Amino acid sequence: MTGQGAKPLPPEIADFMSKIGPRALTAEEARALNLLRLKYGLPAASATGIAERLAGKDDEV
Amino acid sequence: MTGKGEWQQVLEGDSVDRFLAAFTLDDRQRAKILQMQPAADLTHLPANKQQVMDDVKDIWHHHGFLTPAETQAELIKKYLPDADRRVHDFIRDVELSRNKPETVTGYLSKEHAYLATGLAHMYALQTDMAMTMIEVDFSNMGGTNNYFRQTLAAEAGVMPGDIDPRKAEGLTDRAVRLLSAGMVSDITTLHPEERVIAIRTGGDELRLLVTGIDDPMEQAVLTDDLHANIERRVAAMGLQDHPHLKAPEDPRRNGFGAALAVQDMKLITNTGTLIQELDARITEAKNQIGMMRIGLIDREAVAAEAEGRVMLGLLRVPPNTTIDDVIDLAVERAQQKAQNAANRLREMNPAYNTELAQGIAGFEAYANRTMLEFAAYAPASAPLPAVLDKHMLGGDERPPGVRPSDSLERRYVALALDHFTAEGVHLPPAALHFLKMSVRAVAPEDPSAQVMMPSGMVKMIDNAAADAQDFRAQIDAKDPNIRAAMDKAGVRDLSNISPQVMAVSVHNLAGLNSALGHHNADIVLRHIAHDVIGGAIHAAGVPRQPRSNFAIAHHGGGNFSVLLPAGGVDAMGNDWFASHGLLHKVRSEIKDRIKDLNGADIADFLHKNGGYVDDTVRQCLDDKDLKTFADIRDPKERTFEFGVDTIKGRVNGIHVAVVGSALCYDPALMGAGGGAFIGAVRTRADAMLEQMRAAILHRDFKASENNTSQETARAFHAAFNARSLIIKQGSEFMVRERKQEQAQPQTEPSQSRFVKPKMPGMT
Repeated sequence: MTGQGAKPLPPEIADFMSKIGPRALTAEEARALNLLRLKYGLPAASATGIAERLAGKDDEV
Repeated sequence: MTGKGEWQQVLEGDSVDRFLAAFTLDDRQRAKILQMQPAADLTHLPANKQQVMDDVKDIWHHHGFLTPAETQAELIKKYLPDADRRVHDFIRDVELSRNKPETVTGYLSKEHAYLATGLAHMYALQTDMAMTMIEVDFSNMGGTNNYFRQTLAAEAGVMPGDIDPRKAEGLTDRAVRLLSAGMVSDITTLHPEERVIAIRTGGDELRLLVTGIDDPMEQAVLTDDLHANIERRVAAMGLQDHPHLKAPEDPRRNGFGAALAVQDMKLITNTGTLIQELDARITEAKNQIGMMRIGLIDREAVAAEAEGRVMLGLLRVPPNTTIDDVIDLAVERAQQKAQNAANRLREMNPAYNTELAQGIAGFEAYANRTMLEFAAYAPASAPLPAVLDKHMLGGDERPPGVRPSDSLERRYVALALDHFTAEGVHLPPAALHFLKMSVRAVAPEDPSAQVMMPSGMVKMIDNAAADAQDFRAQIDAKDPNIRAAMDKAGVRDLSNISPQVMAVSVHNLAGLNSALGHHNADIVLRHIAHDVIGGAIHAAGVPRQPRSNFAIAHHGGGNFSVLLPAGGVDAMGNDWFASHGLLHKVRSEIKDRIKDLNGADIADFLHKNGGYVDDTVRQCLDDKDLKTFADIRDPKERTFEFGVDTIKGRVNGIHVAVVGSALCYDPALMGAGGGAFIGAVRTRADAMLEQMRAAILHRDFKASENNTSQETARAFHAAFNARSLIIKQGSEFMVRERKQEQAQPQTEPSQSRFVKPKMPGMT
């Protein structure tokens, strides 16, 4: 039923999540997941990216 | 992987499955209709869910991705090609009325969350079009309420306690509204060709479904843009610095805000873990942003990002340098940018911002001005047809042919059918089927528990109260069968027969979410709603009746309310009546079923009920010693003081408090209403649950310390009794209403539209 639209996730991230199972992630695991996503260029929490926009010339709100 | 049946690999596949199934007409249903109307044309109606799904895809092809209500309206239009124009218009208006914006955010309300998400995932999986899901979580709304209360108090020269908390909450809501509207405006400005469906999924949670944006770089840019704009707006509102309600000592958590995670819906590999994965990403985003607000960076995160950019060819390693040099430089630059960003944000704080120096007036001026600058978000909507737009459908307002014990859905259907009869419009079987389907949804369902939303329950209670006297008037107390039913219920005279309302508060839903994830926790929640509460009611003697106004509503978390009809007729034709005794039975049955749940094997339960459970999950549960639901850990450490003793601990497992009351207010009285009534009963249930937690911790304390001190026991009982007073205070509303009613002059019976029970039952 899922068709062919699905994309693969980097195996390292998929393995990381499967080892955690169904539960909520701890703060340490959340940070490790974010690091993995940053490493693979997936959208993630990036203080650099936000700071770049905020420290730039466009400060219109 | 998750769920049951063919949509199990789809996020919220159960909701998609139910949606598609509602449109299918199987052989048995066809035969039944053709038996009554042999000339009925049913050939264009789908026989299975795949046919409906194909039609949904056809709608997407012609109209793009739509809200669930719009999708349903388009499907019905397709399946009623020859119906009267007035029927089409009526159904379309009913459907689109469900897109009425939620009052705080202007987004769609929670009732649409699961189906919209499931359809969006189907859109990503079954078309070559992209779909992006953006999960958003606000920060520190409680602390922001406090901040506004204190600011209002300082401006008025009074104590914060003198400020109406609703006024402060209203200001927090304006900040929520501004960030919500800003996000939609940002997305539509950045991606004007894409469609956005925005939903408020919880008190502090939003979900935006956006067509397109399938490139990871684009998604990363969108993530940063949205976060940066949120930060600018928070700073401009002067809401960056106040303490966090639960972590006042941690400066990274100061202030109001929102963080988000952007998810490509083609890249969902596990629907059973996606939501907790997004929650974790949001938690980390809040952490990163909190650091940046005070000029700090997470050096390891910056290094990982730089490494990734080098690997993807987005960052060059110049000759005679190493990748480590590039990363070191990136970290150094990031630190400088974070400091600059923090300085910029600080410049927008009240001390530096001219407009905000005006305090609350400045905040409001900024919010008003900024809202006008945002691109409008307005999904297709229509007013509910006037004939259905009524709160009261009971008492004098009860539609003809509807019994006092009939459900809200049936009342709406009766109004719609009367309308078309008056209009002289003939409704063929298919039109009747879809009209009923559409009109029933006027009373919306909470998608997580799959029972009624609280708004529907308020309406049901008001109507049940208005109908109570009519119900009693229909009873012939001299009839031996009626007498037997009254004896069985322990009811001595007619005035004791009344609808009953219950509040059920379940402890440790947060623990279920934390231990098992949202998808599995929803399955447990539905079990509690349907098998524990619903099953207990039926086991106690209330028969399953399709026309009954027996209803369960979910008020969020582990909070439910229940309305039991005053009585009815069971499948054997025997009369039955609700009573104080019935409430006792239901409460006892609920407690027994919760006890059974605590003893149930978690993995087996999830497997049986379509949860996310496989060998890996079983191993994870074993690793955490999670065998049965009694092992579910309370995420919160609780503190209770009993005299000189302070007892701290966690109340593990699932526990329940049940409070019931005869429905005994008069809707005609000023200030009374179903909302206030159910609020009072729920307050008592919550207080009882808190008392139960204290008792459990005290019991464990005694057991662990072998503490037989009379002094501790006395202190415990004193504290226990003090909490009992809180429970009684919760019932003051009903007591007050009874007093008001008793104060009415006897010569004015019309002031009270029904005779209240003499002894309102309370279990």
